[in-house]
Parts: sequence; C-alpha cells; structure tokens
Amino acid sequence: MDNRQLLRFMDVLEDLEKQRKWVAFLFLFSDVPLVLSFIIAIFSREYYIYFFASRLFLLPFFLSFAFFMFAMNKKKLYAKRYKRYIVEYGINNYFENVTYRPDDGIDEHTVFSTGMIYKGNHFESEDLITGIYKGVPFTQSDVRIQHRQGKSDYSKRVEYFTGRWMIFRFNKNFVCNLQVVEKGLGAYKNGRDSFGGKLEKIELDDEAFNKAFRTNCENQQEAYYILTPQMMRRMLDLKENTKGQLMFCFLDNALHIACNTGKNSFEPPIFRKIDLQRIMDETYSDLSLITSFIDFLNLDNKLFKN
Amino acid sequence: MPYVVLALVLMLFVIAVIWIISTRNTFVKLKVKISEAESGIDVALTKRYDVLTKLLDVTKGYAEHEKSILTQTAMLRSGSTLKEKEEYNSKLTEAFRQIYAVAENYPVLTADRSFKELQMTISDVEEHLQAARRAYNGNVSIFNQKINTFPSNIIADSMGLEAADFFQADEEKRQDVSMKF
Repeated sequence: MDNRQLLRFMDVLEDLEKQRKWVAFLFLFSDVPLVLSFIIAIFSREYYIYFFASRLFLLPFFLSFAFFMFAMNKKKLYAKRYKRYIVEYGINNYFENVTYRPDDGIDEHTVFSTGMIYKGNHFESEDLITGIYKGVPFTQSDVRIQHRQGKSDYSKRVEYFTGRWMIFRFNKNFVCNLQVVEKGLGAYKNGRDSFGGKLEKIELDDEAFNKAFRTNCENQQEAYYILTPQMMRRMLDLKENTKGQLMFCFLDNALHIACNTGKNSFEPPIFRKIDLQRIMDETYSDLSLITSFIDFLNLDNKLFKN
Repeated sequence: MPYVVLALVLMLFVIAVIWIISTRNTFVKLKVKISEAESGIDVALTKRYDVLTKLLDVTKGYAEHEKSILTQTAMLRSGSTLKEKEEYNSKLTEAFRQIYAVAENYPVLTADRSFKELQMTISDVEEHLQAARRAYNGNVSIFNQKINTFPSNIIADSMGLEAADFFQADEEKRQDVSMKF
C-alpha cells in the first residue's frame, strides 16, 4: 500500500468510525421510548391507568420498532462499507490468490447436495471467499439454515445451521461418497437417506473417532482408504481445536467441511471502537479456519491429486 | 387374570422370535461384509502382483534374477485361504524388497520416469491394501465380539459360527517396500 492509498484508507477508517457511532446511537435511541414509558408507569399511577385505558401503551412499542428498523437499515449500509474496505483488506493481506464477494455465498443446491443437514425453509449465505491455498482451490461462505414459522423476518424460527461452509476442490473424484458428522449435531439429517439410500453407517477402527463422529459411506473399503489412521487423528485434533460442531462430506471431487459455529463471521463492531489491529486479528483468526483445515488434514497430499 | 398372563407370555414369545431373527440376520450380514472385505484384499493383492510384474519389466536388464522372482511369486490362486493370502503377501513384499535392493545400485534406473511413476503406483496400491486389511479386520472384530458375548453367542452357537481370523500384515516388511530413492 503506497502513501496515497494509506491516507485514503485512514480517511475511510475515520468515516467508518463516524458511521459506527451513528448506528450505535440509533440502536440505543430506539430503546428510549420503551424505557421512558416504563419509568413513567412506575412513578405515575394515574398516567399508568390512562396509558392502558387509552391503549396508548402501544405507541412507545411502535416508536421503538420504527427506530430499530431505521437503525437496522443504517447498520446494513455500515456493514457493507466495513466489509468492502476493512475485511477485504484483511483477506487480501492473508491470501495471495483470493476474491471476496460479501453479498454472495455458496448456493443452496451445493450445500444440500451433501445431504447432511435439514433444508428448513430459509437459506442465507454471504461473505463468499474463493481462492487457492497450497495449490488447493477453496470456496467458503457463511451459511444460515432455519425453519421459520411465519413469513416475516421476526417470526418464530428453528436454527438448523449457522456457521461456515467450506469447499475444497481436487483434481480427482473420490471413489465413493462419504459423510463424517460430529455426534450431537441437532439438525443433522439422517445422512444415510441421502444419495438414494445408498449410504450405510460404518464403524472404523478407532474407538475415539467412532465416539466423536458418525460415518456413512457407499463403500466401506474406500472409506478406510480415505480415513487413514492419521486422517482420523487429525480430524479428532480439529474437533478439539475448533469451536462448533464439524461435518465433513467427500462428494465427487470436493470435500465439504461445515462448521456450526453459531456465529456470523466478519461482522462489524457496533458498540466498540473500530480498532484496526483487533479487527485484523479477528479476521485472521476467522480465515485461519480455512488454512487450518488444509494444513491439518494435509489436503495438498497425493490422496487428493491425480 | 389368566388372559393377562397369556398375553404377557405371548408378547415375550413374539419379542424373543423377533430378536432371534434380527440376531441371525446380523450374523449373516456380518459374514457377507467379511467376505466382501476379503475380496477387497484379493483385489489389492492382485493389483500388487500386477505392479510387481510392471516393475520387473522396467528393471529388466538391471536385475538378472527377475525370472526367479516371478517364479517364486505366481499369481494369487482363486479360493486361497486367509493364511495363504498372508503368505502370498509376504512373498510379494520380499519380491519388492529384492528389486529395490537391486535398483539401489543403479542411480540411472531410480531416476527413470517409468520407475518413479511405478513407485507412486506402488505406494497407492500399498495404501489400498492397508485399507482393505483394516476394513476386513474391522468387520472381523465386530463379528468376533458378537459371537463371544451373551446373549448373541447362543444364536452364534446354534448357527455353528466360529471366530474369524484377522489378516495379519507384516508391518515392518510392508513399510520397507515403500522406501524412497
């Protein structure tokens, strides 16, 4: 980054900080009508009775809701700008060959083709990163899968999956489709039903691995070929070192790894100052999940190459 | 009251019949899995033999006694027992070892492209054999546990089932084969 670019970047940072303060103020202000009416209700009995009798008590709710929606709208704009400048800067610093599209994501069809998770009726995906690390092409994005009971954004919902979805592509097809899913993942769809019921549950020769993961495959011997003792050890290590439950699916020429972290990555801070160092540390920590899978699982080895 | 007792007895009888059928089916399925895994070992051993013959072709001219290696290691006979397969595997390992011992003395040979490609194939075949052995032993382990634990051992006895043997691979020798130049 030359001096001119650096100055421009600092200007953007300053602007973003102003934008953040405004969004934080709007969120706090959206609570004011509710809090005020609550305080008045406590201290003035007459007002309290009049308030309910005249149904005016609904007014603070409406006001708060309106302010909240306005704040959400401003937050969206702020988040978009934040990702465009700060997250993209972090990603480009971390990887050499990479593209980042904050508004795009991995498509629904690709995610559900693994047959590992319930579809629900709401699918969201954003923060698409595509690149190459150690010769392995990867794609990753945040994914949220929910079942919503109503049509509105605020209807009752059941969370099936919130986290990171990563796809590593190789130049050869796996001989069989194989699913490895961490036990205790609530939204796990019975994977054996996938691929036309061709998958069967198998136990491998590692007790600890069997305790931690359930494995479904089309061909037992090929599953043993992919899941070597070293690979199983590494997957167990990853489970220990990763926040959130893990799912692996070896499908065609790709390895899908889903990590149910319960959080959305690369989100901007609202109620704390934009501290570039801290944000970069957080961004690198989020990105290190991608590289750790390639490094830990040794995905650049010959098992995955022609 | 007698009806209640009769119903209970009938229910227990039905449960027992269902359990017997499902346990018998489990044993049958396990036997099938074991024989499938054993055929996986056969396939891997045959591939290993094929690679050996290709390796002998490449080393022709360097290794004088290649003919004797081939005679010692004929193709795997169909219907061989597990013990015979273990012995056959050891012979193949020994044959590879002999060829590598010769190749070590010829840097031109070890630098040859076909030789290097074959080395990679050998490593892949070895991994497939290891996978087949692990799959087979995994199934045998489950089968042996079932026929030795109560109450499924009752059904195993009635079916005349006996503990299956594990496929033993000479690990030390196997690793020697995948030596790098």
